[in-house]
Amino acid sequence: MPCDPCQPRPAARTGPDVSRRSVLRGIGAGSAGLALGAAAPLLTTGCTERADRYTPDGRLILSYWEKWTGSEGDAAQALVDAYNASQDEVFVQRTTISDMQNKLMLATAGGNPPDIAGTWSWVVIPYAEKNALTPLDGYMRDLGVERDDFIPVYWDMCTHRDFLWAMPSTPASLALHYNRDLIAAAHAHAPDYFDRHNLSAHAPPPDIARFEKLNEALTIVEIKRDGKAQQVRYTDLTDAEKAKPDDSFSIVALGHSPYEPDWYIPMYWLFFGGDVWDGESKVTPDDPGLIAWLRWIESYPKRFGPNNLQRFSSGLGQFGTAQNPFMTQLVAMQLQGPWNYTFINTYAPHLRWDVQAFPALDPVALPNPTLTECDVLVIPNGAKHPREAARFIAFASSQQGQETLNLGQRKFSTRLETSDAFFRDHPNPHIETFVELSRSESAATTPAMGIWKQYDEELRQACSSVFKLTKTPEDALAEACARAQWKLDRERKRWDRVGEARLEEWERAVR
Amino acid sequence: MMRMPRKETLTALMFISPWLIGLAVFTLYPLAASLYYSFTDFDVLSKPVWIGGGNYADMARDSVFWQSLYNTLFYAAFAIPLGLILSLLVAVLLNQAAKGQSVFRTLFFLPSIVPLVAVSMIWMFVFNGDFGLLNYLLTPVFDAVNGVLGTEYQPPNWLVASHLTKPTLILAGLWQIGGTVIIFLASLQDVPRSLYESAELDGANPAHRLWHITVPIISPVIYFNLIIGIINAMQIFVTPFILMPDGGTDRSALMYTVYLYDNAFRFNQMGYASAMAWVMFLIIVVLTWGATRLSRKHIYYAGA
Repeated sequence: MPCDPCQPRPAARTGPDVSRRSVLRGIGAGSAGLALGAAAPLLTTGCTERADRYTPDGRLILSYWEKWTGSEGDAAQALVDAYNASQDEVFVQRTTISDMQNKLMLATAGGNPPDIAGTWSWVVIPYAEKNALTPLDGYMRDLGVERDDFIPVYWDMCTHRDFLWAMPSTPASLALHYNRDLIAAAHAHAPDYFDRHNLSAHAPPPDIARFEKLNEALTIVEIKRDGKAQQVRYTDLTDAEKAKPDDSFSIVALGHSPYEPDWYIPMYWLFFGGDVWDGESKVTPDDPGLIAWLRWIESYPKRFGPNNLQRFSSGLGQFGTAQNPFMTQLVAMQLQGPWNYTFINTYAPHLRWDVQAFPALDPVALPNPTLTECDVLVIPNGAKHPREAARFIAFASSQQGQETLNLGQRKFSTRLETSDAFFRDHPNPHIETFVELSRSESAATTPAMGIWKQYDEELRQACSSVFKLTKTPEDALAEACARAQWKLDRERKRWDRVGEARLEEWERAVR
Repeated sequence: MMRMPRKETLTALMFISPWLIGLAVFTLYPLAASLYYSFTDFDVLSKPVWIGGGNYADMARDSVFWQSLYNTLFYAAFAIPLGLILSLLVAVLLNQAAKGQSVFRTLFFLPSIVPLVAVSMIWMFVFNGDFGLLNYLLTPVFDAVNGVLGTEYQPPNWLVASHLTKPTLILAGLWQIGGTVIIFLASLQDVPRSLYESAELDGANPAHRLWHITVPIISPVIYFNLIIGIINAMQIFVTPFILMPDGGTDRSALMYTVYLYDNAFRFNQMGYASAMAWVMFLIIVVLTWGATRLSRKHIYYAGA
């Protein structure tokens, strides 16, 4: 605005001359600065290194991410406390993390992972393949931790391409849990049927064929006869009533269903002597064990009706609740791990139950089959203190560490040697059965392939289609395997591109 | 047009810089990065490897990709028109001067402010095949029919039967029309009363007035809701993800964004997921362009 000489001059200001524009500019600059300041950490994540943290008494703090909560979390904390008390150089700080897989992936990708992470054995291979883990061979060798001290199956599931990527923390093997009272009641109802099929009044048989006969004897259905609804055992139905299950009856209680729970549905093939791939490059849609497995799954809707099974399942409670069908005695037999004891003890303490190996198609060729899995401790690639982290992992793998953690979690030790006190103090009366199963020659693990999670998804879809009778076992399996092969080929192509460099890098790391 | 002095431009830029930086960091960079990743084999944990159009070629022969796209288009084809029609009818009803008008308006809008996850959990209960609310209501009807016909029909298992999973999702989606209703309601109040009065004098019934006066006058708003409807329907995620996380029987309700999420975060196939995201973007652009072309002649802009 031009200055009018006739206008009186404004009174002189005593303070600094601050124009409106410069105030605005200042505010603008301030906003820009704030925005940049806020964005800076995001922009530089992965470019900067976190400073080491120390306790007031000068111990290096190691970050340990673990997924356990509740009593399992308490057991993990007891392990951490024991380690912190055993030395004065580092202090392990446990943080409970939900959705561990995604958070670990993002933290590792962002270059800011924890020093130690507690995850699952099935994560080991895909993460190792993607260079997201630190190989532990060198550290464990230096600390005197050897394969010979461990139940082989658990050590082996922590290795991939001849490198050690994790150490087992808490193990599991799966066993058939069964309700003794329900079996006894079925026997009392039809002793002739039990005799005819060579069934015991006290325990399920070891083979699938007779197991299914027991399943039918334990299954109770509701049917209308002469206009009146009545509950009868499946074995008491007429052939005509069995011929059209969805139209004839509804399910009141089941002996067993592979979908109760559905966690292991893509792995039941192991009880049929099947395998899902050749161990190298090909999936196996024609494997007789796989076909037999899906035919067994198909036998459920064919006998009990696909709609009946769906309706029955939709009315059941969730696993970790008092409405779990095994607790409410709506399902008499379930495939579960040692953790089931805690839930039974909490929600159905008066249940009379027992455990044994899940039946096999051919129990002579496949004695005491089981699926083994374990939780593991890993050092993510990019962790700042791998050597110190490895010492904690070695402690957790020691006899003392294993027994502290696994007694607290009601599981068992991954080591071959276990103290008498461990079994004496263990509340689960059947824990030694799980230990025996884990040492069985027929103990299996999830297939050692990087795409297993995707293959698992495809097999789940196949099972689902077969269970609903929308596809034949052969068609469903062919479809699932075709997609899995496509994914396996993609993964192998990727490995061909980066594999050589990876192996060299790992060799250098473990030297 | 006057040019802004450089200093003022700088000041203005500094003022909008928080938004600009946010846009650059949270939108432009991820957009550019996802475009790049779509041409790579990227598993998040290790460096992306350039594979050219490999992900797009894989997509072309991925049967599940096509199935998820079909499911999403099927959903959109029914959910969008049904949603628009229902919203408009509800808005017209709520626009009538009636006792308790504001209460009804609030009631219809309420479902829109309930978190989608919570709504989905409620639907899970409503559609449950064994003890769901819907089948509880249908059972007496089926019993009556069976009594007359001597049949044994039962209420359907909504979340399991493959031919019912998509209709179930469409039905669930119609519950949340509150936002669209509010926009229609606002536009209905701009329709001149004089037009209705003239039409009434000429003997037009309510249906005629709706079709010949209301719909043309609010056509820009219908168009707006159509475009928003296309975008929302093509990106439907939460409800199918909660109700049928595995995609339902035979993947009959596996929606595009759920499959994209699976690839990105369950299978670590971020390159493939990025390519899927770009294909979805192009599909939405094409659909929006098509809707604009088709509706151009039918939209009435009073000021134009």
